[in-house]
Order: sequence, then C-alpha cells, then structure tokens
Amino acid sequence: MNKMLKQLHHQGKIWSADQVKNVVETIDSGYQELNQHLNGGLPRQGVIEVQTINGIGELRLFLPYLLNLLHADLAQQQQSRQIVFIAPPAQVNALMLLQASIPLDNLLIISSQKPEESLWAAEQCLKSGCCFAVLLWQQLLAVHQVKRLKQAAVTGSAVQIIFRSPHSVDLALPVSLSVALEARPTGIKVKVKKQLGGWPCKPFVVNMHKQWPSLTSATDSTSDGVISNVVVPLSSRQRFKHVAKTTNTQRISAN
Amino acid sequence: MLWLYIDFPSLQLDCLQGDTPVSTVTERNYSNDQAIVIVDSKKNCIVQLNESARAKGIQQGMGLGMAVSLTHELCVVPYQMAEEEAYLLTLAEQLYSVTASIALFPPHGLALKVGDMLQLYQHLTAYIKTINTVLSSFNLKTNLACDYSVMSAQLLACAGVNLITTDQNIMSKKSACLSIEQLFITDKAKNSLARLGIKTLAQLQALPVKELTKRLDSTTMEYLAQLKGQTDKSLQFYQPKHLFEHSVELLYEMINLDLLLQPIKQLLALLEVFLLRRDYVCLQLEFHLYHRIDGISHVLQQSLVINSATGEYLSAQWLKLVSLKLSSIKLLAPITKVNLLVQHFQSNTGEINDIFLGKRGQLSFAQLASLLANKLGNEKVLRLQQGNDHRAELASCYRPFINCSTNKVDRNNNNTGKTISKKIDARHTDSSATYSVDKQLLRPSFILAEPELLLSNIRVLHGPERISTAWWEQSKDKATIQSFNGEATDGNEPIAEHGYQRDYFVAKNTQGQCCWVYRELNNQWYIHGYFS
Repeated sequence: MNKMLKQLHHQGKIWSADQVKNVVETIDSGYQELNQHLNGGLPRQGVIEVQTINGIGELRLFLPYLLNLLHADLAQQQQSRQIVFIAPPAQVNALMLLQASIPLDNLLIISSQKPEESLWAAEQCLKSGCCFAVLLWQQLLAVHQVKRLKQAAVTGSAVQIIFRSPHSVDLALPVSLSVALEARPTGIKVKVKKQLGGWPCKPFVVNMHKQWPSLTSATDSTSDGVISNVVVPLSSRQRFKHVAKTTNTQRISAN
Repeated sequence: MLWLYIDFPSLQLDCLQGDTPVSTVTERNYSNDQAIVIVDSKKNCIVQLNESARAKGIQQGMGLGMAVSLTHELCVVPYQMAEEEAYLLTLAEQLYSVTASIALFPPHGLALKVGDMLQLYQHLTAYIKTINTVLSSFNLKTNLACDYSVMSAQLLACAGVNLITTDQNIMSKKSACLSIEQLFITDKAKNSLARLGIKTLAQLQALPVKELTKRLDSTTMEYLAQLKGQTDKSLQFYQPKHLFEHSVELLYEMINLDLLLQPIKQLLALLEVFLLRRDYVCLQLEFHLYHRIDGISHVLQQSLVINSATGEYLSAQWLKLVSLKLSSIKLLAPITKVNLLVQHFQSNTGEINDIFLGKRGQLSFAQLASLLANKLGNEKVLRLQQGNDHRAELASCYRPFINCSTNKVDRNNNNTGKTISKKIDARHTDSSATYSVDKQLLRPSFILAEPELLLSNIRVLHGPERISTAWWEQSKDKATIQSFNGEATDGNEPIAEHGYQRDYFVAKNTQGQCCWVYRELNNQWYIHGYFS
C-alpha cells in the first residue's frame, strides 16, 4: 500500500467498505433471512420505516426482535423499560403479546387520533429514556420530523418503528432502515429500500412457517390443495341482508 | 401533657401593618403614628388597637363614639373574623414545620402539644426559641402560656400572662390569681358566681364540686373540669392540605405584565418551600387572575394553566415557563389579585443514571406517563390488561394508566432489573397473577372495536371455532332489547353485552391480509380482527 494512504488509513480518515459491520449495532431479528440480508439483524437504535398494509404479519415480523431487544435491554439497564404502541390501527390484543412472551407490564398504549399528538408522544417517549421501542402508526412524515425522532431515539437509546401504508409519499427520509413488505403465503416478502451502512439487496421472502404454522403455508404455492375455499356473498347482497337483519331484530323485540 | 397556647390578641391589626408574605393590606397606607382601631360592628366596641391609639387614651372595649371623641385622627377598620381565621391557618401551616400537633382555636389562638415535641427539642427553652423564630418573621403580638391542660393554658395566655415553665406550682399560682371575669364561661354563670362572692379562680376551685353542680349549668361544670385537666376537650387539629393554594392581593392594580411577575415570584417561592418540604414535584400550575368590576373587588378574569415537561419544584424553572406563558396572553383589565393553585403532585423520584452508560433520558417512567396523560388526556394513555373471559373482545382490555395503578408505577421504578426478569420468567408458570395463556389459541393481534362486514372473498386457513355467549348473557340481551325498545344495535352498547353464537375462521383475503372472520347464525360474515 502507498505509504501516504497507509498513514491516512491509520489515522482513520479513510473508510473502507469492509468496516460495515461496526457501523450499526444490530439485534437478532429472530428470522434467518432477515439477519442474512441486514448484517446480522435489525438495528438496535434509530428509526425503522415499514411500508406495509395492515394484517399481513408486519407485527409478527418484529415480535421476536422486540423480545430479543427486551432481553438485551434488561441485561444492560438497571430497570425494565417499556414498549410503546402509538395510534395502533385497532385495539391491541393482550393474548397475542403474551403468546409472544412480551409482558403486559412493559407495554404502554397511546391511542391518540391526531398525527401531531402521536408524533409529540413518540418523541417524548423516545427521549425519556424509559422506553426501548416505540411503534408508531402514521401516514405522513416530513424529513424534519424523522430527524427529530432519530435524535430523540439516540438520546433515549431507543428504536422507533414507523408503520405506513405502502403507497405513501416516498421522500428520502433519513431513517436507519426502510423496508417495504408484501404478503406471501409462506410469510412476508421484504424489499429493503434503504439500509444505513449496508449494501442494496434483492427482495427476499421471510419464511414464517416455523414460528406461525397455522397462519402460513409451508410451500409458496398459491394453489389451495387441502384448504377449502369459501366464497363470500357479494358486497351489495350482504349490505341488503344486513339491513334486513336489523329490521328483523326490531320486529322480534316488538313482539 | 404539657400544652403551649399562643394567643394573637391583635391578629387583624398586625396583618394590616406588617409586611407579611400573604399581605392583606388595603388601599390606604398606614403610617406608624396613625391611630388605628378595629371595631366589632355587632357589639360596637373596639377589639384591637395600636400603640398610638392607646397613647391617645383609647382602650379596648370602648365604644366607637367615645374613641372618636378622644382623637379626631382615627382610622377605623371593621373587624373581620374570616380574615383572622384564614391568617391563623397560614400561621399553623408555617408552625407545622417545627411542631407536630397544632390545635386551632379560631379566630386567634393556637395550642401546641409540647409534651411530644420535648423528645425532639430536649428542653422547653429550645422549643420556644424555635417557635419564636418562626413567628418573628410575621411581626405579631403574641402571648404564650404553658400549662398541663389546654384550657388553662388558653386562660393564661388570653389573660395576657406570659408563662414559659414546666413547673406546675408556678402555673397553678398564676392561674389562681385570675379573676372569674377572664374565664370562658357564660355571663349568666359569671353572675351567679359573683353573687356567691367568688372573685378569683382560687376561690372557685376551693369549693367542692358537688356544691357547684347545684348552682352552675353542665357546660360550665364541664369547662371547669377541663380547666383542671380532669376531662379532655375535643380539639380541632390542623391538618396540612394536600394541595397548594395561595393568593396575593396586590397593593395597587397592575396592568403591566412585567410587574405581575413580582407577586408571581412570591407565590412560586412559597410553592418551592412547600414542595421541597414534602419532596414533591408538580407538573401543572394554575394561576387565577382577578380584577375589579363595579366595586366587587375580586372577579375572576382569566386562568392560566402552565405545564412542565418534567416535574419541577424550583421556582426559577417555573418562573421561566410562567414568563413565557405571560408573553402570549393579554390582560383585559387591571389585576387586583393573583391566586396560585396546584392540585396534583408527584414524588420526586430523581434521575437514575448509570455511571458507565452516561446520562440517557431525563424522565422516569412515571414522569413520562403523567406527562403524556397531562397533555393527551388520561383516557388516551393506556395499559393493556387480560380479562377473564373466553370472548376475545373481553379477554383483553385497555385501562387508563393513571387511574389503574399509582402504586404500581412506584413499584416499577424501584424494581431492579433482576426482579423484573424473574417476573418475565415466572409469568407463564405463575397463573395466579395472570390468567393462563393458551399458546394454541389463534387470536388476532388487532381486534376491531366494531366488527366490520366482510366485503371481499376469502380463503379459509383455519376453523371453524365456535364462540358463544353464556345463557345468562342471552337473557340479559333480551332484557336490554326489551328495555331499549328494539335498539339492540345501539352504538353505545358494547358488543359484548349481546348474546351471540359465532363461528370464527382464520382466513386470508385477496390482498393477503390475515383476518379473523366470523359467521353468525344467519350466515352474516364479519371481520373481527387482523393477524398483523
């Protein structure tokens, strides 16, 4: 190597690509495929953007990660810290979290309706230092808002996960990791849109059959062999029926 | 038990003249040589008077007409009992920091239980010195007297005898000289004693009780027994309030906001002392600003609510926030009175910093939760809780964090990591703490508050699983239907109130969403939740 180059390298003024692993501290995500493609797991700190529709297993993708994070956090911190759900799309079910071994004592839910309130709450939770993960369901995000969240996450050494719908306005947000999720019969197809200190990779499928055998099929075939199909009545017909039903009940009660 | 009675013979007058923190100075300025008398308008006699009035020959108990005839330069103030009583409470509040049991004798007396406090102060003189230091800042005229019964201490103090001693002989000697007129008994009783030729307490106490009972009524006899310490008087003790409320009446009407900061600073200083003594912090201050309308001096003009992100007790920090808030408001009329009210307090938990990890966050979890609840409302900051029910919508429910467990918060704060991790491990084995978790049950992660109509095609993965309500729920349902006159689908009624029988399926729709759908008896399909 050139002597001058060697000197610069020694001074740490040159950054070489094989140093990637040291840039972001990661936590085992619980899924082999994710760990492979994301340098060992999901980031321990920072902001993760998830573009997904609700109900395809996006939360299940993060549950093992959250649990690992909780345990890693307990080992390091002197007190147990919280997971915060802000503005979840519907009521969170306790049983599902308990099944995933996440204790309810470590969970705070903030059901704010206004986006500004949600963002404010997220920032407060992050920088308070008593939450290790904040999950936020929010559509619109501006660059400066993400920057603030990121700063707050660093202050409180926490991770911010933001769930958005896939077709939201796509700005180059300063997030640590941005993934787009798509439903697949075996699990979830993950497309890494941005990864801090990582190489771009092709979309890959995370197989969830091991963790959730009843919700996913073993093979990627869309054909339905064993499982029966149910065809549901047309929407218009059902609405009509619904009206008929309510009038029926009224008639019964009148009797 | 030794008691110390403190009498404030001219409390209202001293308040008028003194420059005290809670000043009740009216518009007029009183110079030192101005003769001031306080007149009880009901009895039309002078109850309190200052030195210069006394020098002019005015005496207590004199009529107003006579006093005016003695001097033409006389300032007359009506006697206000309520004002004295309020001031007495302030005094008790201040004394409470140095002595424990304070019995209130409104309108202008306090009795302190000295017996208990001597263990702390060792000697009576040290105790009296401490009491005097507290009282000296108020610049009041006081009479202090000790005795082994409260009533007798009161008698001595009100008679103007200053007696600091633990010797019972001196006490009884002093009280024996007191005349019957000074006793707190009815005039009728005094008269009947005078007819007997009894003039001093010594003479009265020499008589046998049996003889006295014939001539005096029961209340007087009870009083005499209390005087001797034979029976106890039920006392009204001072209890510190669990809220902070103070007000400052302004010397002149203020329109300038910068000037208004001065009285606010005064109030905040008082608040700081209050919080520091209790090791509290507060998150919210309420200021009420009063102004004058049509002669009514204190009408509420506006209220300012000031929130702090972290619990604060330092007046300097609060003053910063207050001045920020004041810069954004507009006064409609000159202010005559400022009132500060603080209702909610938190214990000062302090920060927990790891020396190796450096300073992380600024808040403890309790502080964060109260901060969120303050800003967003209590009903929006929630804890998740398991319910003992087989119906999914009841097996998991939200509870407001603030109401649900104030002690729980503290417990979490004090917990070390070890106990928490134990708790996590123990969770599944220890079913007594929570309801057992069935790992086999397929339940969605999100449950819709109102089941939605299923409008798209689905592919069933699992099912059916029948969930029906118990028979008593069914009957309840019928009852509610009858009472609501057919409005069973009323939006206010929770779904769980109704009896139902549903067949649940886990299914995927065309978008790949994993839904929890159910079919009702009449083949209606609904989505109840999503497996996110």
